[in-house]
Amino acid sequence: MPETAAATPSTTVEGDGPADAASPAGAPAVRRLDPRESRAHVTLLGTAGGKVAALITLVAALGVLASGQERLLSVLNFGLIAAVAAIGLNLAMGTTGIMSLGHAVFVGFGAFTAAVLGDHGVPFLLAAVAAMVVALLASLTIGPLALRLSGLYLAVGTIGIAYVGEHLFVNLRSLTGGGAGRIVEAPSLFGIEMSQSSVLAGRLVTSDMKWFALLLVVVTLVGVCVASLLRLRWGRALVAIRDNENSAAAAGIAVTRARVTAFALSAALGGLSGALLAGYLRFLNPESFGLEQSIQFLAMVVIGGLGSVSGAVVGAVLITALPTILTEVSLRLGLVEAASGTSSSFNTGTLALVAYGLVIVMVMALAPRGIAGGLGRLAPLLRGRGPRAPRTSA
Amino acid sequence: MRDLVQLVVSGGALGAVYALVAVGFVLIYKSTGQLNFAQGDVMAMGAFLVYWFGPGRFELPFGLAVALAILGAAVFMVFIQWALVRHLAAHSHEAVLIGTLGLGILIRAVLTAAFGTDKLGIGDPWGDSTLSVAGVTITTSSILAILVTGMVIGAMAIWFRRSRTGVSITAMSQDPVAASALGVNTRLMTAVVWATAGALAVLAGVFLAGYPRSIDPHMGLIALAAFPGAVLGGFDSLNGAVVGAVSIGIIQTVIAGYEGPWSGVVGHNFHVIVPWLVLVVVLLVRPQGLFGTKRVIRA
Amino acid sequence: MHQLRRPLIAGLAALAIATSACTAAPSDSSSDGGLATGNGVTDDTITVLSLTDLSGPAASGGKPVQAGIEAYFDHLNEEGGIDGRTIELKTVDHQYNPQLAVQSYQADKNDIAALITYGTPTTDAIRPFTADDQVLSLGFKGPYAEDNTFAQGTAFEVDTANLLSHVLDEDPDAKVGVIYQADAMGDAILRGVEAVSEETGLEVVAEASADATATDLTAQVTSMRKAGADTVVLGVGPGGTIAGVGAASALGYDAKLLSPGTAYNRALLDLPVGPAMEKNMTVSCSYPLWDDESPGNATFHEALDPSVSPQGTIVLGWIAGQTIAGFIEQAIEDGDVTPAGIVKAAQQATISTDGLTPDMTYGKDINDRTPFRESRICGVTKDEDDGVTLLADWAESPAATNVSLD
Repeated sequence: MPETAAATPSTTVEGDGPADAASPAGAPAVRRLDPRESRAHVTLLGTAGGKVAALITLVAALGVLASGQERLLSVLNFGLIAAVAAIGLNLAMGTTGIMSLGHAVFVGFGAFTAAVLGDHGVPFLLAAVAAMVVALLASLTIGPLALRLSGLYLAVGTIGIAYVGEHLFVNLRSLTGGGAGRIVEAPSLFGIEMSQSSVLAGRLVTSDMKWFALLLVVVTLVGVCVASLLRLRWGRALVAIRDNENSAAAAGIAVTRARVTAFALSAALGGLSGALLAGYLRFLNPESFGLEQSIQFLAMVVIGGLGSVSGAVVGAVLITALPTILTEVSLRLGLVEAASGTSSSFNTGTLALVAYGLVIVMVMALAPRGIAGGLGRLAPLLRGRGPRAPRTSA
Repeated sequence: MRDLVQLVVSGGALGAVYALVAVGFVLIYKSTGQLNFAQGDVMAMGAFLVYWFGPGRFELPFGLAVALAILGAAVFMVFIQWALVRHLAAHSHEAVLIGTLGLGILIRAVLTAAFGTDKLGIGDPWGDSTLSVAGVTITTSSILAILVTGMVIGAMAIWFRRSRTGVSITAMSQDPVAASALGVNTRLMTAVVWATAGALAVLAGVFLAGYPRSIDPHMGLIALAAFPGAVLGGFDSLNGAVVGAVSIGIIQTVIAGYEGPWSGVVGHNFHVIVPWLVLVVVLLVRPQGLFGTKRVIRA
Repeated sequence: MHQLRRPLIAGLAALAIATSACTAAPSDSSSDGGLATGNGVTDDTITVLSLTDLSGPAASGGKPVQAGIEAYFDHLNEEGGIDGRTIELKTVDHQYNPQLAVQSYQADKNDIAALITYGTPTTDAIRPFTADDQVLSLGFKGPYAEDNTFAQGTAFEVDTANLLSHVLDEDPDAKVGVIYQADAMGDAILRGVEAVSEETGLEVVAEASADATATDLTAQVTSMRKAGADTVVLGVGPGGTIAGVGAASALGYDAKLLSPGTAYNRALLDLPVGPAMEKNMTVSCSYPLWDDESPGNATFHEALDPSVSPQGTIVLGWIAGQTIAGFIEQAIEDGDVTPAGIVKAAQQATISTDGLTPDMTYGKDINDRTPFRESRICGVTKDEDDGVTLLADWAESPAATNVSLD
């Protein structure tokens, strides 16, 4: 029933779903691909629009980095860290249709793994890789079993993953600090102390600036990798599964195995996000890896646009920045009183909560394909053509 | 022994609350194929409406406050279905999931903004009164929860079978197209279903707020445990939803009473995840639950 | 791609030039006629940050405290401020979210001289950062290992030790059970109980942990009863206290219930559990009572906005304001009111609260960064504005003297 949620490639940076629908039902048994064919069409910045968007993003990012504006950098850093997890969730959800309400658990596995390894002096890069592995393994314990379920049942089942995960984190006190949480050692990457300021060529480079540079690289890398993955045969198979499981199975795709793989990869990315969070925030508590956080990742992916890698990044940054944006805007406009010891219960703080829920509902009601979907519909209009007919898989 | 009786009774009361939520959820799903992940938060809203009509603002008598809250919740649910869920369902499953989850968040946030975070009393007339039966102390609130829920569910079962509306809804849930062809006004029936779910949510909220608990904007999260109950019972069976939910409530509470010495093995507060472990087992072993029909649930 | 190459290079070059021109520089400290000043201090103002929860799960505690802080600084500014400078209070609501707390701290850290923090996970989360930056962090729990963190008000360990010791003095054969919250506060309360055990040989008959957000403690209370406890320490927050008292009375369980720290407040008595609380609860009330007679309390009541409803915890914010002001004054006296200078000053400061509490003396070691080791014990009653009636005035038990804070 749903069309592929891929936005048209012309306006997005990293590219999203496949340009062409894959694995038509009724095709003969899947043949081996010619090596040239699997490299084809991986032109992410293929269109002029894509290149312009990439350039603008790059310039803006460098500008932010240069400004050294602490609050902006801090918010963006958290947003980029969440983006890694969102890209992962998008991989599972936007392609294979796995509605996971337990994604934050894998972020938690990664975070605590990195923290524990940090205690023992393991270098940050290695700890991050280990975090990904642990999260991936964790997903494999439940994945093959749970992923035989579909739709609503899977969604409800993943709520169970969220609760069991939090229970685990709270009770493994020696590793996680239990309910009280724990501090994380200051990470160092290739000899650079990420939590300290340094002086580079006479200029002050703060910890936030270092992290921003690192996270830009990481998110770009991750985004490019995932987007490329989705353009290969394997990625197109995932989308086929989402659109119509039975047809996909008939076409010879090993459905459960593909879903388990997608789930595992998405968990690994969650783990990476967790490791980055551990190193940056330097304080972890089990409460931040439960159902509420999982729902937030879901919101990021859906608002950004299901199936779109760049959408996931935009959604992540937006949702992360929402409380800050709201507070600034509502204070400037004088709409709501600032939260204080004597303010009523309707203040900037509670307004942020209301807006968060409202944004999710409104986007779903008005633009269910999210920002990337919306831009996709906008682009042909801007170019002077009529709205494109919706793309469907074969 | 005394402990066990007390635990079973308070577990039954909690299970009654879960049952009201589960029935609301399954009713909507069965009749219309739509999902309402905000059902728990509608329950919280219902409790706050009772509070608002009662001790919070208008200070009306409790019975009247409950009646008005039921009216308000029913209207709200019909509106939500018409304005939001209908469009989401036409789009995709993900849209319904996220949309109703977002709605739940919105409800929670509005309640916090409107009423603050302090704990409040719902103003029920039975308060902290308890009964002593054969030396065992039981709260009036839990007895009432069990009795009232039983009566309501029983009445609903009769209504489904005997009344024209009830039969129409049953027909609609089995085959919407055929029912419509036979003259069932599906849009009206859908509204009735959603309104009923709203009423059930208000009742659930009243009893969940009963002694020794209180109302707070996050009480909807407690009702999440109704989902495993519905799955245990079988997602397309109303009777199953009741049996499953009550079972979960009792199992959870009894385990809670005895888990103390085992906390080294299974962790503290093990009872919180017991419903979810039950869920996992059911989904893996017998996904259609106790009373559900065997459908294609597995890929 | 070709047509984009040249503008691309040009753009990047321009950017590189712009970058080198405007990288941020830290503000340096300067000297002002012998007084070293730094971040957060200008000729006319001193900026203090208050990181608190005003709309999240702990808002029922955070808001009254914030009201007290605001009242104190308003009052101080009316009296001329500190050394001729007015205090600017910057308030940020982190909603009990550690990420938001860290973001806010990072955003403001170059503009402040010191900070007051409320909320356990958020205070925890900013520790490494405030320690690195050597900015004084005054909290209501803790103190922590980092020597820039201070606590004001009686520590949980101390309150618990004093409260339990008081009860055991009256009833040496009491059978004690402990319900503790699964977080840092719960850990601290357990330490207090252990200190009493070491001192008196007490053997706890049952221990049960509770989620910070639990609204039903029937399980935990049942296990207390099964173990035969006639005295239960409720080491939990306000929600847990309501749940615990309610569960006990719903089960017909007539144990004495002890509540250390500041979980109890007057508002709880309006709930259906109110009568049960009045009957069975003994609390620590290590703060000035609403009707205390002291010059400090008189000033406090005068300064407080009449629209604010009486709450025992408001005055804690007032005292926090006094403490920070005291640290800053000491720093000015010592000639160094940079953030690091304020930390050093605090490590040897003595603060007087005009009779609201015993004098507060601070040191450098973690066991000295809590103001005093005395507590007050109260019963619960509807008849008082702040809901408590004094049973025992400021006193320090041997267990409290010895309990270690890490």
